[in-house]
Amino acid sequence: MTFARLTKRFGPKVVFDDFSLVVEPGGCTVILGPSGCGKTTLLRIAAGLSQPDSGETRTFARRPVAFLFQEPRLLPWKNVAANVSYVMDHREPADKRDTKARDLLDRVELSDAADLLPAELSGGMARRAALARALASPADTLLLDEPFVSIDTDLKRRLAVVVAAEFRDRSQTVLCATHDLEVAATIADRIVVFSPAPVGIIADITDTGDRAAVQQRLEAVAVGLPDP
Amino acid sequence: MPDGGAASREAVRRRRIRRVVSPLLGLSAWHIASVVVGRSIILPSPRETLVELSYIVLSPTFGSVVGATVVRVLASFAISLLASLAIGIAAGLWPAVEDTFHAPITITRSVPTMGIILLSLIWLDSEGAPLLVAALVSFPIMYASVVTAIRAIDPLLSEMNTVFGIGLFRRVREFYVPSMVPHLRAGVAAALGLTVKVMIAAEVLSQPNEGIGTMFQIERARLNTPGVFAWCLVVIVIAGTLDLVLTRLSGRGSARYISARAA
Repeated sequence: MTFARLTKRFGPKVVFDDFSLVVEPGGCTVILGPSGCGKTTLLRIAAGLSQPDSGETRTFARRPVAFLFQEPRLLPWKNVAANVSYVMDHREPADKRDTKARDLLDRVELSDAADLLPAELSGGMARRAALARALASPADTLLLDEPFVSIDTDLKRRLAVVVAAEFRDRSQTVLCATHDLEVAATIADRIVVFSPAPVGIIADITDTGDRAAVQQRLEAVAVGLPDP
Repeated sequence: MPDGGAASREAVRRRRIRRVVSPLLGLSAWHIASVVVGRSIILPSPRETLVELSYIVLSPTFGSVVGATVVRVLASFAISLLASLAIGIAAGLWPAVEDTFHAPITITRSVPTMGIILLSLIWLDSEGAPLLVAALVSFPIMYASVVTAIRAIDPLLSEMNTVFGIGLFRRVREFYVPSMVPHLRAGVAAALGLTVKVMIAAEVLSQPNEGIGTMFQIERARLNTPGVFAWCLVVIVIAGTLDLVLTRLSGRGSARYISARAA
């Protein structure tokens, strides 16, 4: 996934100005940055939902991608399990899809809500349902926009581990936008820190296994990880 | 003091009682009025009407007469529904299409029903005229419902379908149709009720070989007012049945969604 010399404006606001980034396949790249810096815009360009004003993008836009949007975007007339199985390959039998959907809901600790409608869920539950749906897609690219927002801290830590295990198991290419440093440190193979718009890359950390080293690098660019 | 559940049950019980008492009061008022008037040619009693209704229902031609009208109603409704879906979806998606059809729709909505009936009688035979009339009268109502339903489709959900690569057939069946049905329901029900009434009016004037409108005209010519009242009851039952079928079809599986949304 390559973004080369991108320019993108929203009215007078310049979000990208000659911005370039290469995302290697099969890993998880986390984009860290303050709100409004252009993280979501980059994900939308990657999904083919938004076009840059200029520059070249070689993305998976022509192929389906799995996208966890900032809003849950669940179909209100389908129950949670049906929403999750909605994005699966429908050449599979319905009962198999339902079993897989309920298994994913179990992994995001939402199995009790499998038969509820989205209107019957809290914000955090709807978020987890949308997360399960993103993981249910057979797409080989997963785009995550603030994946654990509105989920409480303990559950967020458990889910981050589950989600990372899931996409690593399937060798998916993951691009995740967040301003949550702890999430970034947990799931990332690579952390790219954005400056406020117009976006510039102020840190590019590939060795994310060593938490202390990551902390040190982030501190060097005046960003700190919260205490675990 | 009753709890919430008991209060709710009590409210339902009272509602049922009111729904039974209301027609009984209406029947009583009708009976009293017919006694006061004293001439069945002006206002027959409920009993005379029921006797006439039993003759009508037991007559050998009843099934074919009712069937002919119901088939015309359904055919006319289907024509109107298909046309309003085709044009309404395009108009809902593209303002240029809506602008193009604005004048014809306004004219169709404004022309008096009787004008449409008379023109249809000039242009078509007695069998085809009621079809065209009922379709033209119900079309603007359904068209407006379709445009509203299209505009009510959530663009964020539509985007989700695009991103996840949901196929067209499944997207129509599992996303577009359920999105539109709640908004279509009221308009389609109103259009169906209107189709029945306009169809009978058109049949009265066009006199097809078989049809409830034709029977109305025959009873009127015979000065058989109880017969006219009895046929009115038949039409009420037909309209109620069609409305019930439509409600069941459009409401299947969505009642819980609607109640959850309202909560």
